[in-house]
Amino acid sequence: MRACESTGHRCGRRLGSLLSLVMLAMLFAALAWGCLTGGAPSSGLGQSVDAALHDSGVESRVTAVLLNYRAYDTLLECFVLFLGVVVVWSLRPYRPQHPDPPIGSILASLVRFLIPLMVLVGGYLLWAGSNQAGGAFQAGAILGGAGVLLLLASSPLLHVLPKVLLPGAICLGPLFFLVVAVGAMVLGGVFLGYRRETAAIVIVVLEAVAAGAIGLSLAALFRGSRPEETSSAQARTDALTQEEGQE
Amino acid sequence: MIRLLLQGDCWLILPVILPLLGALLSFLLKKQPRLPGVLGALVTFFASAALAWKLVSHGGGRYYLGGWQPPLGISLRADGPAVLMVLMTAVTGLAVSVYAGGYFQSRINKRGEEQRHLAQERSFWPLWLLLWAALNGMFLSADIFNMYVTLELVALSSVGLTALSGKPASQVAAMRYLLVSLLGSLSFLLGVAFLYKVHGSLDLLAIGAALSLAPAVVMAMVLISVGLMLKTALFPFHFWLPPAHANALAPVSAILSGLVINGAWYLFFRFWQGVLPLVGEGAATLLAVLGGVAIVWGAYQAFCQQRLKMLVAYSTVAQIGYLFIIFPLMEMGPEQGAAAVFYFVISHSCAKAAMFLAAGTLFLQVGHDRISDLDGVRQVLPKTTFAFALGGLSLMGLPPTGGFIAKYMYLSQAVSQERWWLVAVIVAGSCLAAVYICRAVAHILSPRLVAVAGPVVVAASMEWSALALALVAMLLGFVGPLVLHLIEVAG
Amino acid sequence: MIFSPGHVYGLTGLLLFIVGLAGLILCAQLLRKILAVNIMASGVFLFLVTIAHGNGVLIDPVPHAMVLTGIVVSVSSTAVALALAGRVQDMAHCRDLLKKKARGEG
Repeated sequence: MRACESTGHRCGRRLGSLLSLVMLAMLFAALAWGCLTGGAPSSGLGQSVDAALHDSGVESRVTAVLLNYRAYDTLLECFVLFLGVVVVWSLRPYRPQHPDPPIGSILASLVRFLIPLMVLVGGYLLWAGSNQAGGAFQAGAILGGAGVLLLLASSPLLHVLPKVLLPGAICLGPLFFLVVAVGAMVLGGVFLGYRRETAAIVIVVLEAVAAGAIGLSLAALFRGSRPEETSSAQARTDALTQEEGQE
Repeated sequence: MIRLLLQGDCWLILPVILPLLGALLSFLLKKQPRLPGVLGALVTFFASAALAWKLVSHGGGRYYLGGWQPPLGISLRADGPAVLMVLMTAVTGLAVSVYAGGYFQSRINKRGEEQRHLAQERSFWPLWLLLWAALNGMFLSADIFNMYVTLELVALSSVGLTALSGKPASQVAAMRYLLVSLLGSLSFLLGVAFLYKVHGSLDLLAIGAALSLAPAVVMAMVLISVGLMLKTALFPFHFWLPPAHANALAPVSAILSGLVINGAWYLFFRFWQGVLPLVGEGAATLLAVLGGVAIVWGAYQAFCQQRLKMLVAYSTVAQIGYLFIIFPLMEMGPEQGAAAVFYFVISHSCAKAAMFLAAGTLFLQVGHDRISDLDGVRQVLPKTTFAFALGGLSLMGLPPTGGFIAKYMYLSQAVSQERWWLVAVIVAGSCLAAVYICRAVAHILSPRLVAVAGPVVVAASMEWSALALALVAMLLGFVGPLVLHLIEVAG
Repeated sequence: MIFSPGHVYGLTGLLLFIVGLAGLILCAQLLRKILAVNIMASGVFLFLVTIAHGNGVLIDPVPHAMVLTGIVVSVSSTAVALALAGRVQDMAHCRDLLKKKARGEG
């Protein structure tokens, strides 16, 4: 009897997934129809970006869009990263069920070799961003990778930044961006409106700070919970017992 | 600086940057997060009120960020509906912030687990202020990609707030909420990509002016609508809402039900406002049918609930329906329809937030929220029970509340356009709301003294802020012309 | 309708979106759902990059900037999703432990 039921259940589920696959295929067909028909696509904003490039302070078109024309998006995006760290730190203390494996000597020496190289590449990408592919995000990603490596190897270099200063360091990127934006408003009257003469230097400094903040936030996100909080499995179980009692 | 403030344009950006600043400060001052938190809320409230005053005295306008005109740059737009939403967020947000201060203090005082409650408060303020900034940014934005970024900010901070309580049920609910939200955001983003492909611009006004029914535009509208319907929790996408809203901390429930839902719906409304003349009767009727089913189904579910917060959460599912039945009515009279639905949104926001705050106070005092065991609680918390009942009156649509004015405007529209089935849905929804609210109110107002024991542990600010919000919901029944005047200001 | 090589990339992006959607709906495990959302995001980004090439004459940098912003947003939300999934799993684990304990003592 039970076997019969479970077969029926499985059949029902298979039918359900088949049905949803058919629906998804139809959705794809509709999307493809929307993508392929409808004549020539618009030429986009390439020309207007080029026309204003002279006033933007940088030569790279993508950087000009990110840090000048649409800098407000980038400002909010720095806050998205910051928000990610706040949310991850707000979750209850957590310890993975499988402890990390011991650190081998190969990893330790590889880290010693790779970290300076990664910082160098990050710096280069940052610099290159002003006139070709590259910029704060690419540099930040590399720096974030370096942070992840340091965390994996539990490197002593991590103690360069004391844990007390970590929240401040995480805030620094969005705060600096906000201060620059408001400063431009106080001096020039428009939020995020840099003057043409100073735009180049403002963008380079912004990019450097943003790259650092992105790298740090990425490493913090990889680490998971707030650094100062350590909890034993016992304490967690106790807390959970109490909550279950309350419910 | 003063000259700059008087010149006026920067009023538009202040409701976004002030809470961002407050969030950073309350994150940095982790020993005393409440001080920058409440201060940030207060400053944001005044900035929003100033924006509304500016709008009424000088008319709407656009603000070009960085001085770059669209389509190259991003612009903010202030018109009646946008500023009304910012103002609504400010009023509800200020009350919730005052409530939250007392709430966390009471919890820290009450039980032994000080550390856990301190940690909750430490995360609450930055998350809430970031959410507030993102909502204001969303209401004021005129750029569709910027809307996507603010949508993500809203989604992530709401998920963080939902998970804050740490209860197992809330973690599972937050996980589901996050996945649904991400699906909605990605669908929205793909729609934005389609629109950009066709129009070569991200400015909503420019796109709206050139809109056609090309296949790519149709797909874009479908993707954007479905994504936003997921986030608004319109039936049948409502499944994630009740557990997420009911298992969160009390101020968080009020924020989610009173404000966050309206954010996603507002974007939906903005997109549909432009296309509505093109799509014809069918699509608008489909939305209204979904809304009608939501009203009936949500009310039925609310009636079946055993827990007070679940009841209020399902009532949100029902009330969301009203936000969507307006679309067929808007074809004939766009202005009147918009006025009615925005009136509904603001009165629902105040009433629902007041009810969730009151329910949270009851929960904290009694230690549970089983409706059948809440008899006689009014003798301990008279102001809170009054606030709950008053909020309920507004949901039912009884005079002299804001809910009554909104439903009256709905009904007069529906009658004058002879859409009798909508009249039936609105009347039935109000009757059903009366049934489930009376069921809860009958218990908390009953003269019997059963469960309540012990001294009052809740802070006075919790009781007063809930009552103030409920009174605002009632006051909206008297200031109709003022609000309607604000809605009609053009951008 | 003219079918150009550029369309292949666009269609691939849309296909990735659908594949991710299928994974999100049909997979039961949380980790797979999170991966599925990431696949969907990649599909949208590929589609955006295709748009940047538009008519192929002048490359439009705005979709590139949108993709960069989108990637950072997606990284942030993925991190939150993974952290939350860890908590959910952790709690299920704790609950099992509690049940075992209760059974052992009872």
